[in-house]
Amino acid sequence: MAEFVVAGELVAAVRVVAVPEALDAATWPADATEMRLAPDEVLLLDVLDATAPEPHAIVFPDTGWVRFTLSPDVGAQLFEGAATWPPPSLGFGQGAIAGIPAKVFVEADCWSVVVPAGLASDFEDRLGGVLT
Amino acid sequence: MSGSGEFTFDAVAVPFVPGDHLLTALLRAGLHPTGGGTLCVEGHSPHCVAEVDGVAYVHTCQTLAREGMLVRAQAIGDAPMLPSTDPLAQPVAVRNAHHDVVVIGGGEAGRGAAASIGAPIVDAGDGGEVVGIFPGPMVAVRADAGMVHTHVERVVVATGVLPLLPVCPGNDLAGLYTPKLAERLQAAGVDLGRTVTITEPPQRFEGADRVQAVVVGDERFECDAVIVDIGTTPNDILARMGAGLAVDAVGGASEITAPPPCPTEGTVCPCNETTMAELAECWDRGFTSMELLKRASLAGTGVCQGAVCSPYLQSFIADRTGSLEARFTARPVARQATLSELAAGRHHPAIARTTLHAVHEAAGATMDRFGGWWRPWVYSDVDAECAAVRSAVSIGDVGTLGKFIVSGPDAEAALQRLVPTDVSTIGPGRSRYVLMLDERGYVLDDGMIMREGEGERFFVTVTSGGASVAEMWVRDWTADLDVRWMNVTMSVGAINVTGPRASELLARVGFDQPLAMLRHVEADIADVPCRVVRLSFTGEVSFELHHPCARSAELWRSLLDAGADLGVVPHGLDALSRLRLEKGHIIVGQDSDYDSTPRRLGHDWMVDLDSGDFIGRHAIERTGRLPLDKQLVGLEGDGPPPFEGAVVWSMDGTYAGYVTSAAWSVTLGRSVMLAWVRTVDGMLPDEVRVEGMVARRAELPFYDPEGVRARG
Amino acid sequence: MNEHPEAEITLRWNEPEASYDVVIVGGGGHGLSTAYHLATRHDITRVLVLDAGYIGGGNSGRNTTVIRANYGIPEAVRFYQHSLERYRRLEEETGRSMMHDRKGLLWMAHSEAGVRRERARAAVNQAFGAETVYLEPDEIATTCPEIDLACGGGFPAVMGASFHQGATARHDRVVWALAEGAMRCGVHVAPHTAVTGLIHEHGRIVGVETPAGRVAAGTVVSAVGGNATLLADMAGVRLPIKTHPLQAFVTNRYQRRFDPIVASGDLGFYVSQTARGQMLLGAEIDRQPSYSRGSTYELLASLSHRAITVLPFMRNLRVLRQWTGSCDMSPDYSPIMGDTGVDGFLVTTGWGTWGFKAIPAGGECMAEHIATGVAPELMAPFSLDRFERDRTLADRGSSGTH
Ligand SMILES: Cc1cc2nc3c(=O)[nH]c(=O)nc-3n(C[C@H](O)[C@H](O)[C@H](O)COP(=O)(O)OP(=O)(O)OC[C@H]3O[C@@H](n4cnc5c(N)ncnc54)[C@H](O)[C@@H]3O)c2cc1C
Repeated sequence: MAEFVVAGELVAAVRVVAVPEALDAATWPADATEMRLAPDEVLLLDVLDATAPEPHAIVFPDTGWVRFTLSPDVGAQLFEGAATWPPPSLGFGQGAIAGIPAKVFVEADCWSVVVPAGLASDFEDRLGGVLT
Repeated sequence: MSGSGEFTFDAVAVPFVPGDHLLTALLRAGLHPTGGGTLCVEGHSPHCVAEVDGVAYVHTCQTLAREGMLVRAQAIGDAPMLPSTDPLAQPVAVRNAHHDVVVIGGGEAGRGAAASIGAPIVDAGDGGEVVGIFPGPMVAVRADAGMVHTHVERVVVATGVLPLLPVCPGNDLAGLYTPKLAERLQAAGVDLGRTVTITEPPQRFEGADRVQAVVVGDERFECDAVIVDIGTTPNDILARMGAGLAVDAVGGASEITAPPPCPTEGTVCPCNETTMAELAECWDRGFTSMELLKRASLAGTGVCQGAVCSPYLQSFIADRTGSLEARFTARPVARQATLSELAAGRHHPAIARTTLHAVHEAAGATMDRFGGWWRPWVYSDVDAECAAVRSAVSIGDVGTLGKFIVSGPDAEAALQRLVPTDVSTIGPGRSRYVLMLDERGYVLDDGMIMREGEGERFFVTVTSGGASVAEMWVRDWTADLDVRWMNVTMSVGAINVTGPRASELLARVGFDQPLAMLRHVEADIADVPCRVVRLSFTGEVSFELHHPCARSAELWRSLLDAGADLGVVPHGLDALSRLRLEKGHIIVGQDSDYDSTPRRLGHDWMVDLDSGDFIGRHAIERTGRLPLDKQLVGLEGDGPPPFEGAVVWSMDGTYAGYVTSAAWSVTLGRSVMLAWVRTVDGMLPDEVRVEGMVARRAELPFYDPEGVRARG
Repeated sequence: MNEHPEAEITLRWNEPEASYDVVIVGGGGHGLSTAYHLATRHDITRVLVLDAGYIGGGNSGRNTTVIRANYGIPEAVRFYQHSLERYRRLEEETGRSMMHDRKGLLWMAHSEAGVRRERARAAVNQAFGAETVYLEPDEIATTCPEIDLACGGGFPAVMGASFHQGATARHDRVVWALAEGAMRCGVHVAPHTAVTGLIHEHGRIVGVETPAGRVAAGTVVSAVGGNATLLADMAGVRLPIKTHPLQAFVTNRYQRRFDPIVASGDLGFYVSQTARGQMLLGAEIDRQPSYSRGSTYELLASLSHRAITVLPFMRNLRVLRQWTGSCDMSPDYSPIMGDTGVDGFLVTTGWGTWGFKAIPAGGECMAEHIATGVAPELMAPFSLDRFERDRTLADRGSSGTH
């Protein structure tokens, strides 16, 4: 059972920008949570490094993300109250939540919501407002 | 479901039974919310509105009675008072719902449509009032429990028809009901007395306050109540509002019916009390189309948004022109909501914090918003902060800079296109201060380009707050090139170490290699991996330490600890702004204006016309041949500094421009300024007047013109 | 209620005739004011005003009616101050009530950057006769006690600038009174007649095409609001204009009590109470250029939110109606008036989010220019060729809103 934290925690991550075909073909460390932010950009959570999928790829160990780990109930409640887009039924989705750009990764027993560290404290405040 | 109980209407206690709407309970008690006028159950007739628990213009026919409600009468034509105290900020819940299709209206047509596609129904009768259909499509629904934002692919409008309300003399009397309302009242056990049902438009209603008789054709019927069953009209406001969106209307709402016969007398727009005679006068005055007639007569501009009067406006116009004009444009809102309800779930734009935010606050800094970030404006004493930079060493948080990594075979070509400088001459380990121009040659932003390693990889910084615009801009302009951009603004922290003892401080934390101006290297500082960039904004020896933002606080602390005996203190934005001013460095957005070419900014030295086809090149080449009209210049004066924004006058008293930055320079013992100054006959004045002080045009920079100090 | 069904103004429409001295395309405030001044000041009455819809159906009937002169550069302050003074006398001049109401305009700043902006504006205003005074927070409270100075805690007001001469007027009545005044002198106005093409002859524009036929003209004036670039394109003229939507909304009517116009640059919002008692709220333009006149929930929600942050007493007011106009935005935030380089074709555009206040002076200047062939001093700096000559007029006092 995952431990749910409505307070955010800095997350170990690697961000990779590369040509889309290279990202399509790439394989990442087994324990990475993969978030495809854009055709040419992927955010990998819970890893410290990754292999460049092509010579010009940018592989960036990224400490600039804060993760909120929510139970599926709370995740659904958050979306219902604060997002104009539907959560993915499983896997990755992104958009504004409570006015803050957020990435989510939905798993059967746990939802990860990741926001830029610089906006994490605002996000946390707003989360409190939605989840009361 | 509400139980029985009591609410107050003005000073009167009104009992209600379970299931009663306010209107039902009022009528049962022999009261009328507004005094008179035909009442309906559709939430359209304005005759039933009242102030309910501090909210005016609430349809009592739509509101279930609850214990203790405070209802106040609101006479038509008599606007209520604005609240004299602030109502409590009661949080309004918001729920987002997602469906393929939603059906609005739970009548026969709506139920049919919903059943065939398995779509949910929203119906005011069930407490879901549709405020409007917006692009998305998004159907905003107001309910007592809060707002529901329904996001769908398609909307089916099945709002049916509305009963026509009569227009004739006496239509403002009490005792007039639509058939549906009469049914509801009878079901609720309200005694209406002697009722007469009319099925064609009456000549008039008679009575003092309450109806006593109705005249239809030649016949006169005495009664206590009239059930007005004179036809219907499409309830199409939502269908019309949805024009251009994925909205279909079905059933009565979609039909085009002949308008009712044109009345000759009586109030046609109950919301604004416009009479038929007034309509006719407006028409005769030349307001001879639907939209003009509406605006001139005010008919249709009230609470019901024309639901009551627009069929009559159509018949009025058809009577005169022989053709049926469409109803006027339907605009949100279809059902009203309060500002609180509409604002539910909203936030002000988030203001970003660097990972040093808590550190600044703990140090007592005054924080302020700049370019989308919270920044320390001053810690405690701006002069002491300036002095530390000029004579010892100081650190500042510049993590707010926009930051990008650029890579790929065309990385150099991409940058070449974006900035007016020869990027190929920025060698490995070197950096350059650059401008970014728009197509008109106006400065969009400034920043640094650093080439990393040997290859086609760069690190680029732009102004704080410039990052999001810059990102869209650079991606748009380089989409055809083989280049990768990564925005690392919120991932990379940056600390500026500046002052004559900056090198000494860095040596204490593990960085003791020589680094020339505009060079950068990777190095561990206090065990934190950094890119160390030698540059200078303050005019003193300066190093920017770029590092993983999670480690900013640790690095900050190490620098303060290591430099305690050197006198290191942090400096805020106020100090930084003064120090850079002494050096004549501009802040884009503060010193630049909407039309600042590099030449106007006095920065044409930053434009290399031999560097290929950069954005803005054509504009710069063309305007560069024209005489200059104004320029950002340095001014200095012996009096106290003027405020930023002060007008600059030429010595003969004509307007010359305005001050964009000003400060008293402790170091120089005079006021220094940047200001826009207009040319006269192609010449810039040598002396001007600012707030009574004579100011001399000065060469920039004011401080250390040779740049000896920054080179160390 | 300070408003009633029309009982003063009479409008008379015409079918276009074959030829006129001047054809004005666009029956908004600027087109009609130009016609009015041609007729009343220069005795030029062979004038036709054409509108694709009904007169005042563009931005002139959709704006939030703020009249102010506190702009950012002397050329603009002078121009708008003149227009403001003309507005004050326009009711008397036309004999028609326009509900002109001097309310005072209070502009708040909530940050160091905002303060710098307001001070700069106030300084140039004072220098050029548009009197502005600074207010400390406690003075803001006296001027408008309804304001929550802490703005919910997040945006405390740091300072205010008060422009006492700020006013409003009922937009429709301004449009109609000018139309009536022009019509009385013999000017023709043809609504529901869109200009679909311009007639070129030897490099000159000599008339317009409409679905109802061609109309010859000595001079064609484009006063088409958000359609400026489309019409100019027909003349072969490129304008540096982009069209952006601008939205607004009103609440129901309440007794008049809220006196000033209140604005906040940092929050991007302003409000006043109309003669009818409605609270009228405006914001900044939609950033994405578009001709759409669709209203968005985004605006409704975010503007409501900003409004109740500053003025919590508005929390329980219900919104009546929301709408959208199409603003012709110029790159330097100043208007563009006069010659275009194509003979016989003039423009008045770049009115963006701020052209209602300019209707009297704009029309007056355009008319003089047409009558004399020379741009009057007040409007000369705002010529289109300023972009070619690199004499742009960046005006930070007009950016954003109203
Ligand atoms: C929501 C909003 C709020 C505003 N608030 C303020 C404010 O507070 N203060 C202020 O000073 N200004 C304000 N403005 C700006 C102001 O409304 C406009 O600048 C001003 O009304 C412009 O007048 P106009 O005559 O140039 O254009 P419009 O009034 O738009 O008139 C143009 C006319 O041209 C017609 N037309 C277009 N194309 C053709 C064609 N091909 N053939 C024939 N006719 C055509 C249109 O139908 C229209 O009637 C606001 C604008 C909006 C949208």
